[in-house]
Amino acid sequence: MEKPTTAERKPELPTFSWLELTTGFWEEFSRILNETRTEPDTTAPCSSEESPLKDKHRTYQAWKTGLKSLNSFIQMVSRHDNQESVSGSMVTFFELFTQIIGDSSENLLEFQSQLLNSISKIGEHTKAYNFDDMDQRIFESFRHLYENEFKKYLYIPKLGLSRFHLERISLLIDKFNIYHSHLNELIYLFFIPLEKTNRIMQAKIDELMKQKDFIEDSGALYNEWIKMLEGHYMHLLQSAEYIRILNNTIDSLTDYRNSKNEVLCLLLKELPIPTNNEMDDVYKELYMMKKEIKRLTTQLNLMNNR
Amino acid sequence: MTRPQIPVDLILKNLAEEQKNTKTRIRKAVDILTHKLETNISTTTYEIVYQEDRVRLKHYQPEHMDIKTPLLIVYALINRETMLDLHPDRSVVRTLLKNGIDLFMIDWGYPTRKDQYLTIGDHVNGYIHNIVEFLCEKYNLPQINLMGICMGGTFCVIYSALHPEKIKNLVLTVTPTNFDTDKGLLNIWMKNTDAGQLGDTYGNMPGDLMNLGFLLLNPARLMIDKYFGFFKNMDDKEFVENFVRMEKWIFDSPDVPAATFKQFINDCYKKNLLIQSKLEIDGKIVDLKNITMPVINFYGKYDHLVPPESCELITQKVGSTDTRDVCFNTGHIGIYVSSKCQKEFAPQIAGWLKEREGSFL
Repeated sequence: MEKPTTAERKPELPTFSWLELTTGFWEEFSRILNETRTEPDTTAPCSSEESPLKDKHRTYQAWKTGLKSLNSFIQMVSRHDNQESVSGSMVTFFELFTQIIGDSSENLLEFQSQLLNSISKIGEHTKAYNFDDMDQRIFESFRHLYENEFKKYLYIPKLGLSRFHLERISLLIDKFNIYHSHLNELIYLFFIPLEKTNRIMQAKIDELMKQKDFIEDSGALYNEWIKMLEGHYMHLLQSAEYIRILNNTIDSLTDYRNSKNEVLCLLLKELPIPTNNEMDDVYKELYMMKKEIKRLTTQLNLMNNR
Repeated sequence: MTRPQIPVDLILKNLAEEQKNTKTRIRKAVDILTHKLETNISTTTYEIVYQEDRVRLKHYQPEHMDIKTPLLIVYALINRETMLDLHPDRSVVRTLLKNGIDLFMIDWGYPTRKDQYLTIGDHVNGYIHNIVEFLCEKYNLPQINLMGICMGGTFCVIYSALHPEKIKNLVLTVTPTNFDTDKGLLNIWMKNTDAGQLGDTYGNMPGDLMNLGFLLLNPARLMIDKYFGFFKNMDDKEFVENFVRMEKWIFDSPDVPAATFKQFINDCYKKNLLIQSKLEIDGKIVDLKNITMPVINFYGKYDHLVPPESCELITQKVGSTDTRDVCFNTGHIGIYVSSKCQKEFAPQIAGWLKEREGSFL
């Protein structure tokens, strides 16, 4: 075989030198190991083809074949006429990677800007008993980012024997993330009245201090605080925004619980334990049978009374 | 006019005094909390006279019987009937017994997953009807008196409309029948969310989840002020005992069968069918005009769970001409446990039943 020229061998791919060196090292390493371990056993009753050492030898052969294949692949890749398509593939790969990263960074930047915006709003004046200006865009932004950037990876088609199980697990992870995002939003809502009440009370105390009025009765101050807090909660809990978030939390909790149950049922199927679904079927049958027996008993009693 | 300067010496003196008081209070509280407390609830003696599945019938025997017709109390499926006998000195059960009423009370027990398919019809035409039949047979009477509490009252309304011949007098207490109101947070939430699906998801609607919902109706009072009050009074043994009794009752919450929960949310809270006489139970329409027996209807002016608007319409919708509405200046639970209502609520029921007993005897 004609030896490739230096120009042909010289790789344009940055990883080629390293691959060549690594392949050479493993080739040499494999050769030394073969020499030291595959000496023929003359005492063995069977032929060298059937000896246990042959199995070991086979392993090294397979290793050697693998390395050779790798070497051939690298050499093929490094050939001048293949350089263009390899480079093209690499470019495509980098393009794809850049695209993914680009999209994600764009959304991530948007999310970060939203986060900063929300943080900057902390300390701004908010009106008492008013829950129209609640700033939950941070949660919406997170959900948007999740839905557009992360969720799609969970739903990459699953292949092979474990496809069904992997799909269920992906679904569970997705529903868990969505549920927790809604739950956090709901929990956050419950802190808003506290924040509003504390701010108003602080302003009130500051005002009193400015006027050099001394608050002697801390109990009265507490009563005023709790009354104001109760009022804030009453406004919040009736607001359309709260109800919307509560409903979202209930819906996402239901979805999460259902997908969790599905995964648990799959796991339990492998154990000698009946699943909830199986027991529910039995309970339903029992329920229907009891109803039927009661109906027939009533009918029988009526017939006997006649 | 010059304003007075802040009296720093007075502030410091007050703080020191407050600190000293708190220390003394905490020391006393530790002593109370680490010694035996009398916190048992439902201490009045009763006998189980009937049982079907998990449902039991408690019989409380009065020392003297002034009213021959027995009174059957149907409690809600939410929380437990022990609320009527929380404390010996503040027990609706004991007051009714003192007034000579032969008392029976349904204990719904703790539904499990196998009860998830039970509908309102199974409770009303099944358990309640079988118990009424049992009592009629036991006393050889064609009718009994029926008293409902909250959701149990709604069941009693449905039962009385479907089986009017079995009920002599109907007592309703904090009973929701008109769900089309925005006065109660529960009405707003149930109407605008899909909470009914939670029952299916969990098998039954978990009692703890419902309790969490009830706490969220007024977080400031129920999750902060209540425990602040406990902290302030924990050096008072009687206060601590009553507080623990209430905590025991309030967080003893059985699950609600999924089918009943869903039906109650959809047919009552969302569609408001009962008050319109459009509710269908086991294939029969619940016509409120069939309720021709005397009806007394108690409710609380400050009830945040079942507001007055949800209770007061029923007396106008039933077929009976002998109806009475009684509104107390209290909340949902106050009717049964406040010392003020104790003096009025149960004695009024006994008096009202006594007045109507003659017509049967």
